[in-house]
Amino acid sequence: MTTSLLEVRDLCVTFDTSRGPVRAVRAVAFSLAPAEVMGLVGESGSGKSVSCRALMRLLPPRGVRMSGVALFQGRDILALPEEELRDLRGTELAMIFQNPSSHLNPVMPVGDQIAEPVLVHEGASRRQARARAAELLRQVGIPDPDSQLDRYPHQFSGGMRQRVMIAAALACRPKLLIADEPTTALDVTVQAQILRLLLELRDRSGLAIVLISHNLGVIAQTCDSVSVMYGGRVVERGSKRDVLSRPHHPYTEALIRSQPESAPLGAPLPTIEGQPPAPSELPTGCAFHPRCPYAQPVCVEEAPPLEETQDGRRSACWRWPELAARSGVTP
Amino acid sequence: MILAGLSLQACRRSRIPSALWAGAGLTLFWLLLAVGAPVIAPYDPIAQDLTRTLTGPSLAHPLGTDNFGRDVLSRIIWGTRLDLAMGIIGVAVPFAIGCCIGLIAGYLGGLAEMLLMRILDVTISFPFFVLVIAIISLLGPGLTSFFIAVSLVGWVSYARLVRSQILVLKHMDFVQAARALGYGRLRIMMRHLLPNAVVPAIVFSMSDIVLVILLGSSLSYLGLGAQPPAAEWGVMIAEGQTFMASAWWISFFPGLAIVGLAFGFSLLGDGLAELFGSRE
Amino acid sequence: MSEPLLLAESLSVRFRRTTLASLIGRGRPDNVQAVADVHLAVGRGQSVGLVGESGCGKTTLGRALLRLIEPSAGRLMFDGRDLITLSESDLFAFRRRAQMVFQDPYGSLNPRLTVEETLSEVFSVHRLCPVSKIRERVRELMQRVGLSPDLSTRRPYSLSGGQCQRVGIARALAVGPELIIADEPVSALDVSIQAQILNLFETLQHDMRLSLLFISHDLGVVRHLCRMVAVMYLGRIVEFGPTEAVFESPRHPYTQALIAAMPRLDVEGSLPRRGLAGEPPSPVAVPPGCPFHPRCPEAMPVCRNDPVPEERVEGRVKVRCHLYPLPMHA
Repeated sequence: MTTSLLEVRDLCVTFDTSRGPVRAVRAVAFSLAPAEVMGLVGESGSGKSVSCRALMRLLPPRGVRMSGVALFQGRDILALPEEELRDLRGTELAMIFQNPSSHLNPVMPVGDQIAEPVLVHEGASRRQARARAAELLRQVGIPDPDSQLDRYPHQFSGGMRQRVMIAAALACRPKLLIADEPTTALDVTVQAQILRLLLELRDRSGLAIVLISHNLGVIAQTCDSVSVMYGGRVVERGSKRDVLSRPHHPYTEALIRSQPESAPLGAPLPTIEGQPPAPSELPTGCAFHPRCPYAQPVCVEEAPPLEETQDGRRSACWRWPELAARSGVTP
Repeated sequence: MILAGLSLQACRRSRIPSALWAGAGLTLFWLLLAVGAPVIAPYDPIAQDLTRTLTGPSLAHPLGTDNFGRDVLSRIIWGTRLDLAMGIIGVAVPFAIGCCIGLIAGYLGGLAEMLLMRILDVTISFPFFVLVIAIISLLGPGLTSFFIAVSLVGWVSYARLVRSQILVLKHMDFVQAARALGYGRLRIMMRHLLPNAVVPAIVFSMSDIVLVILLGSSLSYLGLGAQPPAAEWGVMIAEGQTFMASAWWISFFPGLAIVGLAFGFSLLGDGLAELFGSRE
Repeated sequence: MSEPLLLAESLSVRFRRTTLASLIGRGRPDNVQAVADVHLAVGRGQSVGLVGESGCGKTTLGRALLRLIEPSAGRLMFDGRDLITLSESDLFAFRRRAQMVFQDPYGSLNPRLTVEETLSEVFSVHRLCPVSKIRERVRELMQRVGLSPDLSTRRPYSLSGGQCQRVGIARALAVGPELIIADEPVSALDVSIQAQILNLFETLQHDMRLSLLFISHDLGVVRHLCRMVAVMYLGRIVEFGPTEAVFESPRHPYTQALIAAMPRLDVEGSLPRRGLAGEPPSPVAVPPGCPFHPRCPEAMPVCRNDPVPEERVEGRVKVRCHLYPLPMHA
């Protein structure tokens, strides 16, 4: 419908380990429009982090094989040579991570870290870059930015460090920001502040965001669309409202039901038996079948494709029509 | 976390590092040589044959004979026992002492820690070799003095390594759980802390063996360690020194043996470091 | 109403860090008041939640209640007996009655011991049964927490997070305690596994009439599991009462902010437009008066100057806030 900012098709990532190839990401597909906030939900081993690092080409150079197409503004970023990709990274495409402490240089003042992409990519002068850094600190809500430019990361609290990382990521005004669990390590009141900040930035500059999280509540509050991942695949995709209120995939349904707020007080939570599979031990056919209450023999043999269910929604389940016919899950 | 694990595995092809194989192999070779000396060595190492002095490598004496007609090859094979013993005992004793002290200082803290750490500080402020030589001079030259001296001085590194590990470990939840279960201090130290704290010390001990072997043979060369007529490699090098121009093999082969032994342990240490490091 | 199993009154925990300066008589030692004047009660068979953000002291409080950290002031009673003055041997006996489950599933297990070894150790140290029966008891214990017995020879690194946490729970249960303090036991687990472990806690609590103090930063979890909830801020309990009452109409401004900031699985919902500003402060620098006043939207002049002296009761909920009037003395 709208011209997509990012369109990912058939993304596959395989790690060559001592025990053989491990397919961490299998034929992942999703798309993102400008100023859209897409939530990427999944538990450990689902491949959500690996997919995004693959898009940014941040995976180790040896022992990893990638295939697929990722069209960013029409160009396949997976096929770009390294120098062209480096131009894109930091300018059009940016990423922030869960733990700001490990992604900020501890011996460099924050002002320099934010100014660096501006210096490198836009060839600005030191003074211009510094001015931009101060402006960015102000935008991300750090009070009295001029005095903060020369401080070091350890002098900031967790929430502040995350804001600094956001400022550095936004230095060259990217069109797409990938946020990998940006608030998981933060307190709940600070989490709300950071999520609010991200949405403000989207409103102000049309930034598109991929928000990776395992927390359905966070996704529900911030995202426009949702892609649910399990066993290296996208198993459901659609608007937030549709996916979270009337899921078309058993895993999504089970995930929603197992949230503590779903169950009446004191009653046991509906759980999913077993645990999320490690990428090296994926079941045959549909990866969810060992834990799925709707599993049938066909699910063991063949993995269902991600296909369109109803107006723009997609689900990878052989029995999606039955799920679609249900009245919905009460969150 | 899964991503990190996969990436690491992708960069490492085999599970056991090649250095570990090579090091273990070489070390095993020397061990077998030492154990099997009576069977393997063709001649008695101290048997003199004054008719065959200073003969070069030949079929009868593959590595030649020295100035007393003793077979160099046999002396080297028997010498493996001494140099290996120097390395192993010279590290095992400091290791044991250091681990105990590090454990006590790290876990108990307070006065015990302060006292032990000050003793450590004093010991470490003396240059290692100077202190060792001073102690040996006091006790009189010989291998026993060597072991005593190394034990009195070498424990320091192990104590530090173990203590710093313990300082981190004692705050970990499984130690708190042991306390919550009412386990006594001794049990916590021996069963929960020590086995987890010794790994860096073990890795360090491998490179320490190399240093101690070199130290021991150097001191023997200087006349402070093993005494002639013992077939220790350092002693052999000293004895062959005056004949360097004419009968080079007397000093050369023992020197080569020292390098070989040190190399074996060094590779072993590298391999272990890689193995433990990748397990983290 | 019967006496609570665990009772803390005016409990405080202070850490002193002697600096070099203080040793030579210049400057005072660093004082961190991690827990200040806490009143808390856990009844028999009752589940109490303890919520708060980082730096609030909930972990320190949890450990102090078991005397893993020594309280610096106040009273601590377990089953009517004073805990603080217990002798060595009585303390050992107390350890059989109250246990702890920790947050990090892998960090809470000795990496060198197998599951069997970790669990048998409890039986042998506490002499809970003859040596020949230990194996059997370990098997039973593992089954009770939902672990397959053939995992007994595994070490933590080859277990999943959920499995490790079950081992930690089994270890705590081995002594047959009456009280379990669980310090963020599900925070490090995947969502689908969280639900399993929460159900396990619920089942155990119900079957064994366990008293449970459940420490968490996740309000949703606490709301589901606990009958009573205590909210902590900078070492102080600011609100305490029945969970439903506290969640439905929170009295303390901090509780209100926490509940408003909770991510909710509500498709029509969005982020609340305004929330609490600033960050949870560090206990090293506690603001004067009421410690929450710098961030409090309802701060009054009295809040800046006077710390709140005691709890006020509003219905069934106790609050520490100047907004609520002290009970009138008849």
